[in-house]
Amino acid sequence: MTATAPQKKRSWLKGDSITTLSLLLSFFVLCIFFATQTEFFLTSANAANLARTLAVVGICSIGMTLVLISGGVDISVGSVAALSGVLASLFWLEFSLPLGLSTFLALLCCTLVGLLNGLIITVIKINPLITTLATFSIVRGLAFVISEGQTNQLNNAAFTYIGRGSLVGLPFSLILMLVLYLGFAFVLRSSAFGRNLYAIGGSPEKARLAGINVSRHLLITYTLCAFLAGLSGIIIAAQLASSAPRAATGLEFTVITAVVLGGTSLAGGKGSLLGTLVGVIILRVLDNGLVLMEVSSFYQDVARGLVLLLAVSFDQIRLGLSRLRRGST
Amino acid sequence: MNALLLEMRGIHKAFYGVKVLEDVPLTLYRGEVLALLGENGAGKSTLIKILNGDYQLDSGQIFLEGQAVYFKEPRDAEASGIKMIYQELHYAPDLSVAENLFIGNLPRISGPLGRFFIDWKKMRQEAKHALALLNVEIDPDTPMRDLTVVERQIVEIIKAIYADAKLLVMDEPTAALTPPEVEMLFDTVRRLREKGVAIIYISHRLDEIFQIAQRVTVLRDGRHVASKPMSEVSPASLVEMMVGREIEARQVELAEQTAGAKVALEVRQLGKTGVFEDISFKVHEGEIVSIFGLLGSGQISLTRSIFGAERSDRGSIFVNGQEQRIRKPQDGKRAGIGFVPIDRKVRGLVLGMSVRKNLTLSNWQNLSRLSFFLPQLERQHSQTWIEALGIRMAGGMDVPVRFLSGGNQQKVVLARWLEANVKVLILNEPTWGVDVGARSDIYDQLEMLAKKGLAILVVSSDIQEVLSISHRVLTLYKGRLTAEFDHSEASQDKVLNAAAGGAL
Amino acid sequence: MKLRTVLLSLLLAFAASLSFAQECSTAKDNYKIGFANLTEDIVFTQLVRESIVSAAEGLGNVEIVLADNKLDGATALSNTENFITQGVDGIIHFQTDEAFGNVIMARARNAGIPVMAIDIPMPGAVFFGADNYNAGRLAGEALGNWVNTNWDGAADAMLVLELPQSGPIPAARMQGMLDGFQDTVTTKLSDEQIYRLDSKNTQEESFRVVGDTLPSIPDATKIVAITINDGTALGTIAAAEAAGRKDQIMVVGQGADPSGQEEMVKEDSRYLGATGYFPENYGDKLLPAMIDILECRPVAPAIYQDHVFITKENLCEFYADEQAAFCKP
Ligand SMILES: Nc1ncnc2c1ncn2[C@@H]1O[C@H](COP(=O)(O)OP(=O)(O)OP(=O)(O)O)[C@@H](O)[C@H]1O
Ligand SMILES: [Mg+2]
Repeated sequence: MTATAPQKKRSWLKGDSITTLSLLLSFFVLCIFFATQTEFFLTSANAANLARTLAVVGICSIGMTLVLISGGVDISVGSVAALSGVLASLFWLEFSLPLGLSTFLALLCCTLVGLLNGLIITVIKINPLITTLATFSIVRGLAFVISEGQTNQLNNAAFTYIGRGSLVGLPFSLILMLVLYLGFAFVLRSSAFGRNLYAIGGSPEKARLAGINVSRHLLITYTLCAFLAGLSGIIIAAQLASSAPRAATGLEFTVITAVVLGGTSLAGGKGSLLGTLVGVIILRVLDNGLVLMEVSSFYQDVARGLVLLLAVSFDQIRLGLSRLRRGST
Repeated sequence: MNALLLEMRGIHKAFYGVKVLEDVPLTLYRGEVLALLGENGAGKSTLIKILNGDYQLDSGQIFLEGQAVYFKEPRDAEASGIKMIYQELHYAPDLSVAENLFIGNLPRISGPLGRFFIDWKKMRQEAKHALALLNVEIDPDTPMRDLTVVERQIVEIIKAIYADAKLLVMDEPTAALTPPEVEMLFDTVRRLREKGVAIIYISHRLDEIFQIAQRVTVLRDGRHVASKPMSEVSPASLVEMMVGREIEARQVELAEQTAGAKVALEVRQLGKTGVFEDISFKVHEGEIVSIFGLLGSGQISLTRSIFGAERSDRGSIFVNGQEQRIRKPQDGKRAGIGFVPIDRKVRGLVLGMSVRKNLTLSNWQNLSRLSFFLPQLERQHSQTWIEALGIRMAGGMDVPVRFLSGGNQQKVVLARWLEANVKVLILNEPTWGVDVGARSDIYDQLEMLAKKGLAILVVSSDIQEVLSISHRVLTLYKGRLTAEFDHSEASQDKVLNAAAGGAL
Repeated sequence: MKLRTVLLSLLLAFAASLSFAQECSTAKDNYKIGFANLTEDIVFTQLVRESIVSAAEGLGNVEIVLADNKLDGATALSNTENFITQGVDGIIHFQTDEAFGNVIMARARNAGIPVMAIDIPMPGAVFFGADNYNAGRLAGEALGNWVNTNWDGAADAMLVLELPQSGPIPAARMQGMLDGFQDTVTTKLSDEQIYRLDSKNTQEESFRVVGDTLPSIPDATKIVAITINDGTALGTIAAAEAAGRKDQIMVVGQGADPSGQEEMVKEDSRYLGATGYFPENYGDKLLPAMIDILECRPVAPAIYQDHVFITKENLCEFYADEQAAFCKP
């Protein structure tokens, strides 16, 4: 006997693929719009410029995607990015360590900040928003203390290569970012860690009852997120050949915007890196196009907010429609 | 008798200083099914959650195969071969059925990196294999959120029975299953038992217990009452042990349907592609009508469509003779329809809110004078319902509903709707998880409402319930109405046969 | 009626006799002066604070009470209250919030305590600080002269890296730079050649907006940029470098911080120079003025800092210690 309902027709309005699809669509619409508005949008110089400047938000967004999927949030990424540049210059200029080692140590410290975030969240069980709001402020403060508020120049060809150099005709930072996306997309899709992360975000109780070590997963996630934020900070410093404690101010919001734009749910359990990548690109193209059109910066802020709202509500409407249709409980 | 597998001794547990378990023992032998019985809130779930490492005991000891064990986390218990089917459903909505089946234990690829990466092919195959156990046709790649509540429950059951467990705990696994599905589950349980697996089985359906269990342990108010072989007990003696006094089996007394009563709800040619088709029926004032169908026949979707929780594609709905355009729950409400959803977790209750607030959630107007909300009125009012349905909780009416036992949560859901001022009341699984005593309290309430002229539409998987409370029974098979029985002519065989498309 | 006139004239006479009787009621041997800093987070204000403390030590008869306004008007007000309870003779305020200016001044006036305001005017307070417009002009004129000698008196485009959200002070500097440039350069720039960009006061934001703008001026090979501070200038230069157009740009800025100084002295530097604000000698001018007020000597309502445009050439006159590697090889 068959105990199930007549097989429901597979609707194309289903799953994450549609979210990404609609995002790609909006991306093309955006591109066409800008192309008609300004002749400079579709130039190779602009393409090169876009390619050069994706990595900072792009890499940081990987970590944020993981965190949001796990059902948390990390507000401290901007501060951590600033700290990594500041520390690199501290180790290099003040302690006279080799620049390679300084960079490594800076990244290590950022990773430790992430570990700390994770420990507070899983052991003391303080909610991630509050935890990272606190480290957001602590870490930014530390960056100011360590640098004494100064901007420091980091003139070293090997270091600036990370931010400005190119490999086989592509910016090095872009290649680094794409490699990370590939790697982490694979982890999210095909590793036990990745799948468990979705389970944790979808229902922490289920995950725990199913025998997943939730704390360990969250610990790893926040640590990875801070490491990636630190890497973004290094790229900022390398691009500017200098480090500043004020660097990456507001990065957390740009990153969260990009990730949410890419279809990752703030409630956890849902999202993909492909979506995030498209979200990052859309946001970047939007900013770029508006500058090219010489739109005032205040309107740029307005536009960014509107695009986020539009994208997310489109997603909601689609979800609501398909749910009503499907009538799933 | 087989070898002793599990022994729990002197288990104590309190919440908020209220004792929930006092000095409770439990023994379990290999290859047996032990029924764990007790009223709602007696402490059954608490006891097995302690066994499972979900809750920590205050004092007492647990021996597994003669070894003292202590589980800090469910994963520790799992590592020792203990598997659970929880009363409450937990699932990751965006993961597929296959992933939900194996989560926590995903099949990995072989090789040095095998620890990290999933073997998708194997997972899908095993999932298909596992789903075949209960003969369900669910695509393992469907995201969990696209399943119906009952399908989700089945995935939970399969997850537990498919794993290689020594000890399987089932906390009301059949609450939403109809007899044929229950039968299939029992086949599997018997097979497991023959393999030497020990099973703790919790249910409020006594008939099931006589079918499947060899021994029974009864709890009352957190204390151990008795543990006996099934051969030494009868339904009546079990009820007496559970409740602490004799309860005479009472027949539900349906009021005579007065001829010429007005039609309160009428459904004409209602259809939804792929789910149900060509549904027409009437419910009169003062009448209780049940819809009975096997798993996935579309009965849940049908009632949801009548209320507006989902959309139908065709047909019309009349309330008191007026055609209604119902496309969303507000429409249903405005038309005077009350609706108790099947999944109390999702739609029925605000889990984090107190029992008191949940009881009065939709009735603020009644509790205010001159639009000033009166807290003492709210308390009185809640107290009335707590007594009427015997809602029990450790810690009083201000504890969050989340902490109530499953059956007591169901009573809260029901109370909220029983008093709402509606003309038509639709109930999905009204006694899901509710114990024998409280069940008849709920039936009393329904009768009383019907006598007042309310039209009541019930969807239930419990055939006994359907037979005893309904003036009329409609059967649904694969989305179509197949038969209609009056109270007097309805029998278990007839109804089941019609619900199986006449194939049984 | 009569009684009132009598009383009134009596009162007037009394007040007049008071003011004639004592020459200067606020004059004393030793003074206690409250200084509330804008914030302690940035180098500029740290230097201001240090200069005031060391000037007081030099004078010998002035005790300084310190407070931090934390960029916040309400904090500034409560600092004022504290100063009054502590019995200070005069208050030096460095605070941002114009709306609170009136309240703060009213409190001080009631308590009979004179107030000086640094950099941001308050109604009724003696102003001391940057002459923003003229400071801007210095840089603009220098840039204009440079264009006259090196690019035949004509530039192709100008990037204006401003800070619109911060109100009139940065605006005055920007206007000064623009006017100074236009008044000096042989061929004035037309409005279409001027690109106004929001620097958001960070390096990476200026890096981004300049990077986005350069593709829209592909044919410009003589680009000038006027920037609101050193960090913004650095971001601008980094963006030009990343786009491979470093030798097509020349930049001036405001501030001459250590990081800016380092940029100027580089070989082939594209940072022409920056106007110096010399926070390190604010105290030397501020405190004597405050004592003049307290001792009832006439004081101008606004006292301005003397600005100098710092370049590679004159840097060592001012910052020989900071740039020791360059100045004392
Ligand atoms: N986490 C908790 N916090 C507070 N009280 C709790 C908690 N869990 C259970 N309780 C209380 O313990 C008592 C026993 O609950 P339990 O869930 O064990 O009952 P049960 O026998 O499983 O009932 P049912 O048949 O309704 O499922 C109830 O009074 C319940 O309110
Ligand atoms: Mg229970």
